[in-house]
Amino acid sequence: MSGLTEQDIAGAVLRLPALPNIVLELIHALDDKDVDTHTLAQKISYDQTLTAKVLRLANSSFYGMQSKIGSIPHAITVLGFNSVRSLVLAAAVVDTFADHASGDLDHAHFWKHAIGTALCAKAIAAHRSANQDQSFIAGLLHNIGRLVLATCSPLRYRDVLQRCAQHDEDLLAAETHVFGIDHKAAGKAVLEYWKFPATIIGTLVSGQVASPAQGDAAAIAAVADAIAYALDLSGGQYDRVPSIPAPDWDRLALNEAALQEIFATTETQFEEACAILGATGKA
Amino acid sequence: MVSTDIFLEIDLEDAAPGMTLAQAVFDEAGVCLMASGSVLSDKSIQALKKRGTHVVQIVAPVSDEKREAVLAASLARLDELFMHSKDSLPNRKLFESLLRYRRETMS
Repeated sequence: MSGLTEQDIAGAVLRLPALPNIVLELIHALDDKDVDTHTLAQKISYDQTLTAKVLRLANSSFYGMQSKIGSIPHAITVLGFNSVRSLVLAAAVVDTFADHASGDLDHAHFWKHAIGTALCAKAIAAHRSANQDQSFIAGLLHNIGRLVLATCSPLRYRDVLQRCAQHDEDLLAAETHVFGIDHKAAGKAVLEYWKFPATIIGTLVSGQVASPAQGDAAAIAAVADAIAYALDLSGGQYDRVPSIPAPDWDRLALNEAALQEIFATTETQFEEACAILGATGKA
Repeated sequence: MVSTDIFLEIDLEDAAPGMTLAQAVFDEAGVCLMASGSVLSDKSIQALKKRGTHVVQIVAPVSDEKREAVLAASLARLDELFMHSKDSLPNRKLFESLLRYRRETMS
């Protein structure tokens, strides 16, 4: 089977459902220190479905707030603009792809793992005093390339899943075998298309890091991915914990107490976050 | 909440004081009426009814025997999840931490 060309990938990215404009605006403002939060808050509020989900997340055990948050501007005051932005992104991305048909890829399973990784990445970032909101977004999107590959060719993606099931093959290896590239490379293409900042795109490719901060972000995403599988959050029959690159693990230097706390935080928030974001159903 | 606890969705009509919410309750506007983990009382059940809530998720405690069976199954699952990656040192450390975590949260 021939490998995918860059054109094939670009074509598949274009066939993905479009994200709402307000979400694209929020993504573009990720690296912007002087964002007009007032205007953005208003624009978010126009989308009622999105607003309802974001408020439910803001009021969930996710933040453990005592007082009730009743509006987007109120949420921004209490949680900060960056947190609200990551909640809006999560709600919008999961929602946008909810009805997107892509062959045999199980959406509930896909998003459960993505949400688990996002929550875990946020918990690790909290321990490392790293950027929690960006870690959450990077964790949520670390596998988005699988949707690109499955959109490119649902039939070939079925081959990938069958190889994993029959030979218990590593997912990345199976993808490379069938498509010529793996989902990380495909994910990079879609995040670039959506104009995510390099700090987030860089987390998809650990090992080739430019700055220490970016190295941390990539390590957090890699370790969070492994922990989300290890906690069995998505519960898939063929789920396996990927090998954690030793430099990533060593860089984070999480001690036993930190790990136990990260496990507990991730598990506590998981069911509720999935229910609110609509990633339910049996994998 | 222990991770072996079972979540049950029940009609608010069947809810009784003393039950623990496994999930927060929201009204139609997305406003949180009661947080996850709160314990229901006569008063709060009446209040939820007034706000139009019909079902709630509650935590159902399980017996010790069941708990042990669930723990054994979860340790076996852990072995399966790590079956390809125990050669890696970080994965072995993560595996050991999870063994401790499962034993502590489930027993």
